[in-house]
Amino acid sequence: MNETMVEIKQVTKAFDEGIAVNNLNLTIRAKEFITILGPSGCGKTTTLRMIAGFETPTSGEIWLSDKEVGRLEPYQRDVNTVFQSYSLFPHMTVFQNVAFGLKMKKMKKDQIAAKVKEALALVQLESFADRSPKQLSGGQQQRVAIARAIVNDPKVLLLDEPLGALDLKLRKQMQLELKQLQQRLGITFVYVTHDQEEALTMSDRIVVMNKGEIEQLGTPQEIYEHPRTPFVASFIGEANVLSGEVQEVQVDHVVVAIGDMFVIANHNPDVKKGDEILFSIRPENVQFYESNATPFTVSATLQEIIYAGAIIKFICETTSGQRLIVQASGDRLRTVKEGDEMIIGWDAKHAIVLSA
Amino acid sequence: MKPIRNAYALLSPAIVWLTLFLVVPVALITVISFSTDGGYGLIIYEFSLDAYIQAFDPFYLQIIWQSVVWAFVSTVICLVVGYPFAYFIAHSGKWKNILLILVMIPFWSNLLIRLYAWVILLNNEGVINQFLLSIGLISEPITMLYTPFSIVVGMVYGFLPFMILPIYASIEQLDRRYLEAAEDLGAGPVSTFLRVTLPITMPGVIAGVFMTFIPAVSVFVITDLLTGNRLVMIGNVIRDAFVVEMNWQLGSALSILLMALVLLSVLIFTRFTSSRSKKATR
Repeated sequence: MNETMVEIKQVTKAFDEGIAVNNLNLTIRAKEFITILGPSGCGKTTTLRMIAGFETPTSGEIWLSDKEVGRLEPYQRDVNTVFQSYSLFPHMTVFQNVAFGLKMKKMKKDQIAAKVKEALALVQLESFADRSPKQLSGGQQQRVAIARAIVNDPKVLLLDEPLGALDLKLRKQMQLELKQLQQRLGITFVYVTHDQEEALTMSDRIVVMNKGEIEQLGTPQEIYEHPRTPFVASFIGEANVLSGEVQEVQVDHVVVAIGDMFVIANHNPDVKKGDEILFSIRPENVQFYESNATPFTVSATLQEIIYAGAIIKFICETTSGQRLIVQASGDRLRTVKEGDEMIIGWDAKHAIVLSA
Repeated sequence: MKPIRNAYALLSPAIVWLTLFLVVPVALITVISFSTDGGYGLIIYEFSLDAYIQAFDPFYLQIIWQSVVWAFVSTVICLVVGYPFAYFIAHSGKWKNILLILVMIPFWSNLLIRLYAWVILLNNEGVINQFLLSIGLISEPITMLYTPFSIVVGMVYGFLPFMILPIYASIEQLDRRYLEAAEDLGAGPVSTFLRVTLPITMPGVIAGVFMTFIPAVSVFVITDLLTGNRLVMIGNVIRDAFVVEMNWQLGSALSILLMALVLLSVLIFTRFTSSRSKKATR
């Protein structure tokens, strides 16, 4: 079931301007939807372009099913790309664009016609076959680009920020369609984006990249709920990253000192008493307490209240000077105002110890 | 109404220019070509077809045909040499501007002077023959000057930049991502060039072909200098009709014929290339 489709082994890519990808190891399974997520310049697009063949690794190997392809030309690889700019050939009709790859494979004309029709039907553009790409909207052009790639039955479909140019509403709709398409076709999708929400919605697994290296690899839930590094914690969703000194290590939690106050965090086998650690808590997992009755709370001054429709965010500063965002609701909170002293706490399981 | 009036105001310099230097001269030679020859350049404004009857003489038709052939051969050579050259310039990164300046440097001196240089090169006692003789490759000089070869050399030399520049402009604008898309879809370098690069840069090729062929077909300085008027093109004949024989009617009629011929070839060529580039991608 977990057959390997793409294997990237110790791949480094250096440009004149610096190292884009540094000693990357990544195994992509057959039929999975994997997203490479990261800020611009993190090496995600370079990684995708190396799988496609537009860039050659400076060192390392890229395996596509059971063949090393790292140094092959793009046209020798059984992968296809959906480009961010669509790159539809302007001098060809929609039909000719989609047929291009099949023609290159010297497929018979009637067979090409049938396959193109089928691919256009998949993206609901059957009636647009004779149009020129210029006559289509951005969303329609993107669908043609997808049809042009999948019609070749690639082993892997590479998508380079394909929805980046679309407006929010269309993007959401296309996210769902792409996911459904992937499940229906059973093709491995490698999707590159800087949009964390897009990654969380669509992916089976997410690779978070930063500065040419993998920060974390996991399912959307793992990445969101158990970020491993401060970068992942703050890049995916919103997170409070706090620092403190480990006071006590228990079976299921650790006690951390922030200034002269004590809080708890999730157990981590790597920490021991006396360590300076970073841990993260999502704003929605932080609560206000009525009094100091519970142990393990911090007091903080409420600095700003941000009303954002369904939720309200409270920006607080602890007495030791660390910023904490609390997302909460409830009638009692209607009466609080900026400058109030608040008592803040959380469950140990929500405070994730990060590796620095 | 107002925006349209403003547009005319902005266009007026162009309209005046076109009227003065295109419409009026063409109208003049059209009128003259149908007028009566009064001898020694005298124009009698009475309708006459004499000039056209003269112009359709096999002697002139033969020269027109010859001119078209030489101009066509030169244009084809310019295209075959110019396209790869333009492609190379467009892909030469930081050398691009230097190479472009090199292409345009010949324009800084007069064509006449540059053609004299070719006389020195192509002469029987010229640089090329002397060199070939001295290395023993030939035992007697090859006659290059005063032959159709020298005309073609002169035209290719003179008009090559007009081929390179428009093609360069279209290759330069070609989005590299189209080429990546083609490669991604399984097209090797040859297929990518024939099916993507060439069709998308075709407007540059068409512009280059016209900018080469049209001046080439009517040129007379090159034949003057490189064949010493031993071989003539229709440009020489028209020039002589006006200046030497003072037969303005014949000169005008031949000009009109040449213009019609050029327009016809432009039409045929555009039809041919547009239907071909469509077929190539089907």
